[in-house]
Amino acid sequence: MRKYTTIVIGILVLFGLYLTSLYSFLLFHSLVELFSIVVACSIFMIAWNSRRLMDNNYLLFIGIAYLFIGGLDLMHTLGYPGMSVFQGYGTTLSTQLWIATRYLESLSLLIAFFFLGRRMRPNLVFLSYTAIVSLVLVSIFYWNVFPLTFVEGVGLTPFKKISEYIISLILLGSVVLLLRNRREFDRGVLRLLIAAIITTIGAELFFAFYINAYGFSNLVGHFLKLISFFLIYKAIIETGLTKPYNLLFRNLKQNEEQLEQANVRLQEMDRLKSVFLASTSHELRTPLNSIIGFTGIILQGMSGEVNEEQRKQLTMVKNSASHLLSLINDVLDISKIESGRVELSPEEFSLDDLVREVVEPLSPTASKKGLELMTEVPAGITLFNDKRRVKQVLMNLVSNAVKFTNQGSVKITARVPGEDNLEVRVIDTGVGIKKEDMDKLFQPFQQIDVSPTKKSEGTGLGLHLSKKLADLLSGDISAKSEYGRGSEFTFTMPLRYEEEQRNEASAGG
Amino acid sequence: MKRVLVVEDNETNLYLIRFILEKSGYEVIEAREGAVGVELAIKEKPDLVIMDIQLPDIDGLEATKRIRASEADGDIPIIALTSFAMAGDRERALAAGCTGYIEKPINPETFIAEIEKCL
Repeated sequence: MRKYTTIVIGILVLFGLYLTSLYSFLLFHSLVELFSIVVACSIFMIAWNSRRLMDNNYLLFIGIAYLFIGGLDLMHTLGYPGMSVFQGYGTTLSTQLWIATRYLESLSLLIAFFFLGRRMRPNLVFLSYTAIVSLVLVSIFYWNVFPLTFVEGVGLTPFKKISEYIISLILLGSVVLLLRNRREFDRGVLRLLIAAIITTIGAELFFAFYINAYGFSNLVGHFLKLISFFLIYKAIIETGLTKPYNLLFRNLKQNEEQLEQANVRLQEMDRLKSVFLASTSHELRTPLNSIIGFTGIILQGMSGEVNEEQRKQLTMVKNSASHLLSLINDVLDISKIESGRVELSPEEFSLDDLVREVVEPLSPTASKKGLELMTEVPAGITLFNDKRRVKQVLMNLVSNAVKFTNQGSVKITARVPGEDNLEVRVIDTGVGIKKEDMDKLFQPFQQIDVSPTKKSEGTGLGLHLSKKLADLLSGDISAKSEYGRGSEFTFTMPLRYEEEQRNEASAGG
Repeated sequence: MKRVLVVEDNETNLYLIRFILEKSGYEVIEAREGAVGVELAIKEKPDLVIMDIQLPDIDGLEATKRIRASEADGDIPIIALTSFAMAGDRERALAAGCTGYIEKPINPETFIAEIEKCL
């Protein structure tokens, strides 16, 4: 819709200019040339002022060139027959200036490609143009050595006509180069530039034919020039101001795209890392399983008598291997959770059963230490969640409590405070945690020193992993403690696990 | 003497399992590949199959399905050897038709008891 509006307005403007030309060709000519001069100067202003930011030297070069093209076009306008600014030069003056300007324009459009992706010194280019244009002006105005282009009563000289053809060829060459380097340009800008240059070629051909400065082909030629500068305006000024990233900072935009691609690659590598970790830890577990298995066989006495010292040492081998195995399992679990590759398999199960399964394997250790291991779990609580993971969390909390309690009791209580939530507390009368250590509690590899002499066994990942698991199960773990008196860990989770709850929970946290 | 078919590609594990079983008075048949395991399970009609999940050719789950699909099956107890860390192994093993599962690492103290539960 906007396109058509532009075209309609364009046609109206052209028609208005045509009417103007009927009234005064000089006025028409001045208006058309002024428009192209304004566009040329604007291109310069945009290019020159963004030269330190711009990553396309082709455009910077063209920008500088157009200032001088605009300047020569101004001289051409002022020297047009009837303007009577420069006295005593005749019709040839404005056509000489015209031809000089068109040579400058077409050659600039060609040379600009040399600076595509090359370093360029704007000041040097500016000085060169100043020198060239000065020479041209001096040769026309002072030395009178510039070839004649128009002879009164005869018309255009062969130099002028041939020049228009040469200029057309040079312009054609720049179109070819534009197409060859099309990857360096935004598609819209490229199309507009090509259209502008082709229109200019059309204008040149009309100017090759004209008989007098006020004739028909001259009128059409100027119309085409007007259109061509309008297209250049669209290509460079409008795009440069409204979509600078398509024109001036195109490389920046391309870099951004490369960055995006790099990001995609990184994510893929992160995924591969997780896969690698998973398979590596499988490879690590296999030999460890053998070590644990064979140590077990020998300890069982299946391969013959084992003396007391051997038993003691083999037990150490077995414990160390088991410790290593749980480390590997914990690291694998954490990496899986972090890469979001844990699949939960929720099922119905009774809390009663679960607590029993947690307490049973720990009661020998507890009774050996003389601890009372108590449970206060109301009967009939049914949960829907990943039983294995819930058990893993609870097992970690209870075994920690047993590990860090030397006398007294470890108590597990459960209640359903709301309708949908379960709260399990593990309360011990153990060594407790210092206030300053509470922050480190859920950090990985932050085993809190219980006593200066004895460092407790364990992976140092247990609580960190439990916290992550609880989060995964839509639950949470919190702790309070009084140093020297005991600790209390609270594990809360929904009675029924639902996928959406988890998403909300992770979005909130 | 009861015969147990052990399908396991890892030589060390195979030796370990064979050792425990033979010490406890079982006769052991070995298969190092899933397909061979299926063939032996059908041909030799063992009293029990111990099936590792990760095998070089067809995995333990597929092998179990094939044994279950064969006519000579006769409800042989099949015990899967699963890994604690591989979540979903147990569910998949039971779904494929395994009678039970034993988690690695193998604990010689409980291994035989677990097997006897399935016999």
